[in-house]
Amino acid sequence: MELTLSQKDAVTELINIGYGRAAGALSELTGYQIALEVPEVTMHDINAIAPMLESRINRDVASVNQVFSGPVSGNALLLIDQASALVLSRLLGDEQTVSGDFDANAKEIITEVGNILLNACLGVFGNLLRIQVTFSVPRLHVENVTRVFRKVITESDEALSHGLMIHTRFHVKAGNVTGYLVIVLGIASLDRLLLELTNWEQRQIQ
Amino acid sequence: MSGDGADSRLPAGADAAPEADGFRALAGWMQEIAPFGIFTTDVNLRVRSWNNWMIVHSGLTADQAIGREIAALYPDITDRRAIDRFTRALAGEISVMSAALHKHLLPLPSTVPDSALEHMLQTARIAPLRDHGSVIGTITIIEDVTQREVQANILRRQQELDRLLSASLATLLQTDDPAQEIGTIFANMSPALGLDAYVCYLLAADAKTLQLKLAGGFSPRQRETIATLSLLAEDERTLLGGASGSAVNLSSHANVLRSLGLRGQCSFPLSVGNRLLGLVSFGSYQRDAIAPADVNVLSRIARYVTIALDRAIRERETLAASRAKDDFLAALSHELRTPLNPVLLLASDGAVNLEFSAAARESFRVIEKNALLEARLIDDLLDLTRIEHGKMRLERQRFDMNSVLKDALATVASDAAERDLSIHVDLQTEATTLVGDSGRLQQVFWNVLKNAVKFTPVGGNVSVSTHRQAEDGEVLIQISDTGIGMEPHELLRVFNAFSQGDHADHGHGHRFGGLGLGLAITRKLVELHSGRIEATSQGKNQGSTF
Repeated sequence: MELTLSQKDAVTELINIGYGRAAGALSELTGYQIALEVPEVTMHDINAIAPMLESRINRDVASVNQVFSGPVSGNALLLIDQASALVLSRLLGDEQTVSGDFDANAKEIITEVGNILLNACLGVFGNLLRIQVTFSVPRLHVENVTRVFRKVITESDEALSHGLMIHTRFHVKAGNVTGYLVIVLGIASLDRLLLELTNWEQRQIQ
Repeated sequence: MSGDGADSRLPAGADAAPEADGFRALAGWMQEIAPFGIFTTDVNLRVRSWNNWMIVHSGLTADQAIGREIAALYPDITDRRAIDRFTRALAGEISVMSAALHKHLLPLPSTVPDSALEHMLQTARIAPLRDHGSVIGTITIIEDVTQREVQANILRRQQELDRLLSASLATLLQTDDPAQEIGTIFANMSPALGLDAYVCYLLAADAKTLQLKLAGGFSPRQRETIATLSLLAEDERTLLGGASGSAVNLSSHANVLRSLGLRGQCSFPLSVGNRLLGLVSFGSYQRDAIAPADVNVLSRIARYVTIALDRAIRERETLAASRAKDDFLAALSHELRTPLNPVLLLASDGAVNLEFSAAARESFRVIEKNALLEARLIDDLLDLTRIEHGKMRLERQRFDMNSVLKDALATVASDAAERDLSIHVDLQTEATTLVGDSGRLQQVFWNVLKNAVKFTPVGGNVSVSTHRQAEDGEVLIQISDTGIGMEPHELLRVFNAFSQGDHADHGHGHRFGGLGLGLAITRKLVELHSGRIEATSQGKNQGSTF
């Protein structure tokens, strides 16, 4: 199943709004100018996501995920390869707090970044699409992509069908870090999401 | 737990049904023992519960906290916009606040007393509290990560210092002037160690004074004050007495430094065994004492400097000794050889001067022969020493091997004739061109031929032959005789310097003369030409082949 062009545009616009807020929050938090870019939004079959990501991130990945529930429910994940996650945590933290390994400090920074981002995006869906969602506590894991998604699939209550993949670029100080935001949805949730998307577009036109 | 109503400590929303009693007890108990701060608020952000950890670390009892707005208890939260997290929690969002980015949520006192931290470092999580689907307040969990941070800092600092130390050692071992490098090393390490000044003294030639080689962190006038340090006898004992690398207290020196303003200080002797090379001291204008961990680091630096200094000194000494040996060899050769020249000249002239009687001419011949022998022995000795010290210089030229062999044969021809020896020569007819020192190779052939002639009794045979080994292009030269031969044990040492065959051991005196150097030199010369030489013999009186 593919998103229509106008659906893609709508999702991209929503994510951009969410990211704008997230970037603002991160900038304020760290004192650095942070920009978040959304180069690409695609929709994939749930089983195709892991292999595709494996080809782009061939090492262990730091994943922050939050389960959300409501009329639209699923699992939202931020995935950054471990080396880039370390770079990002060093860019955001100061030299004193982040050493050379992906230690507790670095992990906490990434968890918070993931939390801010996921909250912003899911919040946007909630507010603009008028869908009430509740979130779980964000959790961070470091492991390979395939295992991440296997867990997501097994832990889900609903039969999962598709995932929205949002290629994300963080611009921090002089550095760029690439990550992926993946929103995994069940069939019913996907339908509801697309319905509310259409409604939102209509409201924009009016 | 105090005797207060259990209600005030429980999370809001636990209702009154019987199962809820069990839940209440569990939740209540968990909050009390949790090693985290746990507090809840209502929708107006007024505290509803305040667990034991919060009481201990905030200094506020449950009564003092409950019912008050969290922002009123800690106005700091509003200033730092952390209050937004609570507001968003009421809207259903969960927040994570990492210690790295926020330092703390609530300004509670640090739990690691002697660190530089004013407040506890915390990672906090703020979440909505729900009852039947609606949000009725917030719950916050605060984790104390101060200890983790302090440990991590210590580790980071240690790693940085280790890295700097290794880099320093590498520099020290590569430089010619290790004492000079201390300045650079210190510049790299002092920020990490919080030091302001250093001095490095080296022992002067009189072995009683230390002279300032290098100092940093002092004004020029201060440097003059510390320019020399006279050592008293007890100072020497102090400096050499301690274990290698341990700090010493040289009171006179310490007092001088203190008079210049340095408070915390430590000094290390630079010594190898019983030899004192110098002294290095470090100091701080601000700190009263240098931490033991830092003293360890400085001790390592002192040891590395000592190793490098010692090495530099020994290298200089070795170089000087080598040069001295060269000079000695040159002088020796000149002094030993020179007196023989006029002797040889006069003797050889006299041996053919018809104005002298036949008897006189014969005497001159004897003198000439022995002087020549002497000259050759000296030359051999000098050759051997030159080879051993790697100072033998060989020419590299193309020459014809056959002609060199023939020249060598010519020199032994008269001796061989005197002893009625027949010499068989079987050289390859084609010219064999070699690259090397033709003069020295002639010496090689002559040495072996001379022995063959010397050790073969009257009427015997000496044969010389050459073949080219087709496969690898090597040339094999064989010189055999029908002389006294060698037993296996003699064969083993035949090429050793100063060793002669058993014939020399039997109290006949040195029947055949010489120092036993000829074959040793021969082998070395052959090897310097990338060749090999070996000796075989069937046994006593069965001749030998080289």
